[in-house]
Amino acid sequence: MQSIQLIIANKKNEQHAKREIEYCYEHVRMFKSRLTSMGLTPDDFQRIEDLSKFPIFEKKEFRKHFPAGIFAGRYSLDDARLSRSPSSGTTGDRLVTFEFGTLLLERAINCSETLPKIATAFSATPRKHVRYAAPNCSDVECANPNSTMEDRLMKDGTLILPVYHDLLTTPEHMLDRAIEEIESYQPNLYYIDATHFAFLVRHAKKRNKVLPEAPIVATFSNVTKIAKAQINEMFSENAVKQLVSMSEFGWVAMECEHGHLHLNSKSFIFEFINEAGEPASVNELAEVIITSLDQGALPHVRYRTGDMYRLQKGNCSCGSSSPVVTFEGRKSDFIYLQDTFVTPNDVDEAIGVPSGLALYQLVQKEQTVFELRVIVNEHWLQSSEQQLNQRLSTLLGSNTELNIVKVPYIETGRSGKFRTCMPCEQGE
Amino acid sequence: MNNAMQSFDLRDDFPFLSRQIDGVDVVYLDSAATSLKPNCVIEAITHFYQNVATNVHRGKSYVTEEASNIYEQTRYKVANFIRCSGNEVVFCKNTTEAINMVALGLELDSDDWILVCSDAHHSNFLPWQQNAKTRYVGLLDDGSLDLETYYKLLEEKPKLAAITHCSNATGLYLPVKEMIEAAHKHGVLTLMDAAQSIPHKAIDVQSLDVDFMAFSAHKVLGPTGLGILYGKKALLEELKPMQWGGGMVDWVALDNTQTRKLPHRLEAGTPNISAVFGFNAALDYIDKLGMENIEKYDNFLSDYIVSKILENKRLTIIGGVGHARSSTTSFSIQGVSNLDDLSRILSDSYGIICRTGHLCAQPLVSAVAGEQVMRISAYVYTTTEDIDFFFNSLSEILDFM
Repeated sequence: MQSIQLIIANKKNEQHAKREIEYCYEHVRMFKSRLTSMGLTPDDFQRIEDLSKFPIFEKKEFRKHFPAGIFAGRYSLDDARLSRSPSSGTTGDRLVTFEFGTLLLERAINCSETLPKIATAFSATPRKHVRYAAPNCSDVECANPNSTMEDRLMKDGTLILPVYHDLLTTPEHMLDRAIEEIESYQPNLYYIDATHFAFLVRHAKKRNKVLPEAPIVATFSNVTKIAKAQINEMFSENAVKQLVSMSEFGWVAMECEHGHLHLNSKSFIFEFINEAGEPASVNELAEVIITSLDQGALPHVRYRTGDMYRLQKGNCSCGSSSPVVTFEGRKSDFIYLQDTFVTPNDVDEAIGVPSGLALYQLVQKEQTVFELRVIVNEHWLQSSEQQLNQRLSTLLGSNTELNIVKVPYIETGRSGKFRTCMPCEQGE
Repeated sequence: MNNAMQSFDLRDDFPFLSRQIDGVDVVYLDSAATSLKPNCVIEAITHFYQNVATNVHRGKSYVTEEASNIYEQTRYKVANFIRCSGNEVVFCKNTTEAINMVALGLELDSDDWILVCSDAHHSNFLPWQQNAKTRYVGLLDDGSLDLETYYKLLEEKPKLAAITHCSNATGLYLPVKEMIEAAHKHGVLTLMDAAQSIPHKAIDVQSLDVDFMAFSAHKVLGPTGLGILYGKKALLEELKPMQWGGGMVDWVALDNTQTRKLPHRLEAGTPNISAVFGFNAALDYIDKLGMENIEKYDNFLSDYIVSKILENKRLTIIGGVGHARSSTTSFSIQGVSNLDDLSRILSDSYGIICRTGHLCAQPLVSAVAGEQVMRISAYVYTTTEDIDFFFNSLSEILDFM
């Protein structure tokens, strides 16, 4: 099998990578200091293959060195050119990133070449996007039930819809208000977390409301089949499109019209590293390492994302030349069994879209003991439960114990995002 | 668990069980007063003070967020434990405070009255007696609640019926599902004191349809100083905060204050964060044991204790036999009216920790026993050997009384 070390769109990007390293060495204290300690200078990175000599950096290093050690210049945090992207981190590993708004826009446009209707909606004027996802700050300030639409309308035309941090505790009147605001704003793009939006869509159906048509990009967390199906049911068969967006980089990958996820290889260099830390093969599970190319305010070279993918072979039938991947989930959400592991994507495939299932969460209580928590409605069948049990038991192995428990409530993580898989802590 | 009818074999997890008094191993039979704490709970509290240390929901530091995360994660665990939503779980000081929050927060009119049951702990008695008009449901001769009167008084439409799931004195369970359903038929709110039932039974507030429920962490292997008030969302929204201060407001101006959303609007001031950390660990521990196993074992211990009491002719069980009860049981002793000396001998000579007196349920104990009673109460770490040792020791002492 061929090893895939680097995904590079074209020769021009090879030059950009070289220039990015020089730029980082000259302007970013953290990078220079690390390269110096390793006895490296930009001259050591003449060929693109030399990138592997560059140390891999993790999120915590960017947190630790922010801002003085990682900004490529003396930018003020309230510089109007900079866009601030806070991330609470799904597992509590928070980070704040700044980048030029123009660069983020360019990256988004590059990414959305995969799906022109998103590109059109994204650059339409006036910009009327609605965002329905976890409030990205702590409970104290956010999700104030008394905030007005004006309070939540951003300068760039994005309307942040009201929602509680712990999604399922959002009161009905607030859900009604979110629906009213969508109707009144008539968005030209939905920018949503699929689990959150599916919850809103379920409520809209209960109220016999139909939300206005507009392209839907689902980001922030895993897009489960069940959430996708619930949203598509209101809009259209192929309405929800997955977008992988990171606060560090902006838009990283987008699903095409044919349902495949394409990397934004025009804006970044991607590396695929397997569990052993080696370059991964096609279809091998791998963590993605990203290098930015556009000499921004806060450049990243060989940044460890913690996101796991499989690179697919061949070109997509949609005609895009961007590499196709499947997103397998965050590494921290993997469920480790005795000799193997399963990914959130494996679990989601096994769950599928059984009738009557609204929401699920698989909790690993001990290494071989699992609880599948499900919120179901009146269409849930006993036979669905048996089939689900069978499919998951096959996935998790015959020596595991699985209990399916119907619950009225599943909490979000403290980041406000849902985690479909809750592995037990190592050693438990 | 070795098997359903044997002990869980948890003694190594509970450091207090290694304690000796004058060289004698302690036998702990006072779990209804407070449960012992497993190592994981003690470690979680220590971890908070050693490694986290900060306040919750205040400021933006990394560790403040860590503290807030565990704090809110515990709330979610409680919600899963009793099957409700996260914002229906209010942290407070203890069961007593939780009930007072409702008694004061309902803002009762002069026409409102509360139906109070005579089997109640003082915590579910005095907040009503001191803040509202009350009418009481009495006891039958054997110490069980006069349910006929309860159902009858509901017809006169009290504002709220304050009921006790499991008596701290008799250990008897009430048919709370039926009692709540009957109350709702008459439009009567319900508050259930679950302090003595929550350690032993899985409670599903949705299925019970109870309006408010109160319990304390320290009865369920958790630390002292942490109580939980459950309330239906719509009712908690209406509750006037009992206390005002930091952490419960979104906006404060000189002439206007806007409270935060549930549950924080009812949690003024710095909470008992270390206790919440400890309770988080306790809930994990309970989850590993499994509530079903705990309930089975409790039933077994309850039957065992009752059989031991019935073997001794000088002992009279409070609350009669044949009712559903937990492993908390009280009895009076023929010919011994002051039990203080007996309690001291049991403690000092035999290392046994149990309870005597009116058990914070004076109306019940006075009505049924007339004087002090002795109570033993078991939990997951209690063994039949502990119970045998207690009854053998008691017999030995009673030969001198």
